[in-house]
Amino acid sequence: MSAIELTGITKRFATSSGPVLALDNLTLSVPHGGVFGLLGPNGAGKSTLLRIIAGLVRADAGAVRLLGEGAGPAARRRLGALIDSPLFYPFLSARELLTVLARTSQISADPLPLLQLVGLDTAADRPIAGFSLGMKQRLGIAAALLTDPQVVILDEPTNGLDPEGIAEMRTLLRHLTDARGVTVLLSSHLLDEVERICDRVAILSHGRLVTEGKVSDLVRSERLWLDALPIAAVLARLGDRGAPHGEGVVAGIGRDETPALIAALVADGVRIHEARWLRPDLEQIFLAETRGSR
Amino acid sequence: MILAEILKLRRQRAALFWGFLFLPLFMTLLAFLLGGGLLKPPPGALVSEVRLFRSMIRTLSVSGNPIGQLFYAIGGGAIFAVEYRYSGWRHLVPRAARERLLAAKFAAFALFAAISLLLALAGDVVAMLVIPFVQGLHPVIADTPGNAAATLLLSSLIAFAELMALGSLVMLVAVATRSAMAAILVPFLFALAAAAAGAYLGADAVRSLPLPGYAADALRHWLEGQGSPLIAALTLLGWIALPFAAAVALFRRQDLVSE
Repeated sequence: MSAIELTGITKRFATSSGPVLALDNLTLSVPHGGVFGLLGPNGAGKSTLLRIIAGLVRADAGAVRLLGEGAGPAARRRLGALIDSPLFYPFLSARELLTVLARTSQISADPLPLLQLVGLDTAADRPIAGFSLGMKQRLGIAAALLTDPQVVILDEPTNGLDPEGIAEMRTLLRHLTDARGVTVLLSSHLLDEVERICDRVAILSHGRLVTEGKVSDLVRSERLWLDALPIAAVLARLGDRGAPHGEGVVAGIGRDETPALIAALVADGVRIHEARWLRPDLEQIFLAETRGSR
Repeated sequence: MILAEILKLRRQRAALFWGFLFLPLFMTLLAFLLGGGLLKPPPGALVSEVRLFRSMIRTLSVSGNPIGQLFYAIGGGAIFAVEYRYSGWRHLVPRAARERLLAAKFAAFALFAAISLLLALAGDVVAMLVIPFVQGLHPVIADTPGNAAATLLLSSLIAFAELMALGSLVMLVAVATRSAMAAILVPFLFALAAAAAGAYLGADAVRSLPLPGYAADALRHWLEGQGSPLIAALTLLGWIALPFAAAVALFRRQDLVSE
């Protein structure tokens, strides 16, 4: 059973310059357990997707299922969410905010252990108006965890955190998934952070899913880089599997195809100066996928 | 959920004061000022005839006063528009059904409006009974009709219903416009326009208009033995139920992309 199942999600927004398609028939499954990263450039539809899962925005079409149930108020009781920037009522203290949210969730929860978990226990009774962005981010995490949820969605949870805070967040998320069995869906622009913390990622671009898979599988997908002239001849030989990359060409082929390719290029009169395997990191995959979809 | 709304409003001290506490305080102070400072007892008087019942009924009419409605709309705006102002829906909507969230807000408004009316009544009673003592007189309650308790209770319910109609309208405007300012000003201007129409066109000309203020007035007249309460009661209930239902329907479909 998937923790989150999205099927054919479509969402359009009316703007002054006409309708904008934020999500285009998006189907995605977030498996139970682990940290799932949601990546995409600005405007890719990440926040809209998270808001649809949280029930803040209605999809024009498609279905959302949480832990096997249709995403209604009952199913969302097992969901914790930190959506968008961490904005709170400035007139409340951290303890009061969690009390308000606990009462809204109709649970009785002691806010202090959660505030201790995110390092805000000493600021529990200070007005949120005086909190730094990092403190608000931590408070947002505490709010998301208030109901002891089985699924947590976090929108840019490391925004505003210093390196130490980011490391603590990484530890916290791993603790949630490994010790408590919580499924975490997070969006982030910090690709190296996502690569370190996420088990799986999905990359969105223009409201569509462009790739999805285990981080370990994605970064393992090597590509052959060729410094060869003329480039046009190399690209012609590779067809859809070739693309310019820096001063050369990158080829999406397997190692077993390499000797035949090089022989063919030589036969075509191509001068090969260098050929080496690129093992991409997540940033390269992200850029390749999102540029390719534009 | 209602407790959550109460805590939020308690911490918005300015809105709580101006929305629900200022009017009872002002009316009490005004009663002390007018009764104790400006109206001197006749020389040699030993007792003061206090028309407590009439005064309390008059105090309850604050619910229909456009200025009174402005202050209650300020309180309502603080309850119904706070989530739009401080992006609060993103924390609340995933936790509970949308209609229940609005219902909790409406219940909190009802509670604070009821407390405010009770405070206004209590202030009136204190002023009416204390002023004679301040003047060295013994207060004697001069108007105690046989049905005083029932009339007072019904008058209180009418005033409360009139405020609920206001609260319902404030809620609808807050949801529709996502603005506290509009949620306060639109119902106030509506009440002001209705009062102005009554003043310019005459009470008889506007009495049949299905507006909450006129319906409440018709019910007050019925308490005095004039007219029938049915249409007026239905009108007032309609002004509570219809904007409430419209606000819920609108909010259930509202995209909260950016509150």
